[in-house]
Parts: sequence; C-alpha cells; structure tokens
Amino acid sequence: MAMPTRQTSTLLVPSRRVERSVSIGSNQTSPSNQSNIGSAEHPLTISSLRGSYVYLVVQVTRDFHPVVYAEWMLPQPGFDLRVADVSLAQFEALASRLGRNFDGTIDTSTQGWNTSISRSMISLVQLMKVGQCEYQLLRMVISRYRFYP
Amino acid sequence: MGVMFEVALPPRNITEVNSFGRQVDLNRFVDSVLQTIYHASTTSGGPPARRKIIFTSFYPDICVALNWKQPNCEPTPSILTVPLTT
Repeated sequence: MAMPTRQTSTLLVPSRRVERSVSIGSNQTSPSNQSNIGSAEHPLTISSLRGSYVYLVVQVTRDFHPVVYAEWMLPQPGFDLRVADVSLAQFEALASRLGRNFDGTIDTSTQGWNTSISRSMISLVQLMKVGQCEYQLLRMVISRYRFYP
Repeated sequence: MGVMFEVALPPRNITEVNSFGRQVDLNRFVDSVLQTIYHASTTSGGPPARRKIIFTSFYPDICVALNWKQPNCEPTPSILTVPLTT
C-alpha cells in the first residue's frame, strides 16, 4: 500500500499513498476458506469483518498526539520535517496555513469519508469526535509474524 | 462502515538512510493511539455507532505491541491487528 514514488523533497523518502477504501468481501470471509488461513492471499477470514472500511494512516506528533496524515514528510517547502518533528499545535497551525484543516463537514458514506479525510491534516481526537467512532473490536490476531522476511 | 487505521512508523532503514534525528518511542506511540481511541469511544455521547476498527501496520513491532497491550486496556475489547506486507 505504500509505493515508492518521486518526491520533491531532497530526501529520498518513499511516498505513502492512501487507499481509497478497503472492502472485505464474502469470498475472503467465508468459513469455506479456512484452508487458506496462513496464506498471504486471504489474511482476513472473519465473517463479522465483512464490509467497507475507510483507510486512514495514523502517525504521532512530537508530543505524542496521534494525527491522521498519510505522508512521511510534512508539506513544508524548504524543510524536511516529519510529523514526529512537530508538536500538535504546530501541526494544526501548518494545516490551517495550508488550508488543509478539517472543516467539520463530512459525508457519512465511505467515499465521502475518503474525500473529506484524504486531504485533511487532522488530529485523531478531532476525527473521533466527528466520526463518533464507537466500535466493536474483535479478539483476534491473525498471523502477526507472517510478514517477517 | 468501519475504519482501518494503519499505524505508521518510518522503517528503521528509512530513518537511518535519511538521518532522521528523532526515533519515535514505539511504546508511547501505540499507547497514545489506543488511549485516544478508547477515550473517544467511552466519552462520546449519544447512541453508539458500532463502527468496526481494524489496526494494521507495516511495522512488525507495532503489531506485537497492539496485541500485547489489549488485555491491559479498559474497557477490555480486543483489537484486530492485521499485518501488512509491502
């Protein structure tokens, strides 16, 4: 999901591309696919996970406030700054200066979320307030060591 | 509609090649993400939206940390941690 592309920055940092949405379909969640557990092609086999998901990249600022921002480097010309190099106040000030702060309006559809969030520089606290992300979490960890080389 | 969070931390090779000065403390990083989400879910008013949340990461240690920290979180829902591959 993170593909290296050319950067305007002087540093060769792989760009991060935000997936528009992630859909987990029944062909991946059917109990008949139990034989595929352990294979990389079908990492998700839990039927209750079926549905559409908004894909968000979370990073943390210098003062350990999580923010939703997909690129490694901040869009600050002339400086090579990561999210971890600035505080939350500086991050929000930069977002405001660039016009990328979240305006509070959001479409409740998956596409609306992606459209609203993809360009925004927003703290996770603010996002959770907007989205009212009450959640159900499942007691499952799937092959956490699978991706070790 | 659920939310899939990729908990992103620059890989060590990128950090070293580009001489990034600050290495984010992984433990505090994961704590801050989990606490923010748990706090937001327990303090929000109104009817629960019952959104599904999945945590993913390209960074193996983050997946392990997300897994290990889940029994210590209150309330005690569990976390689905899905490792990603490049």
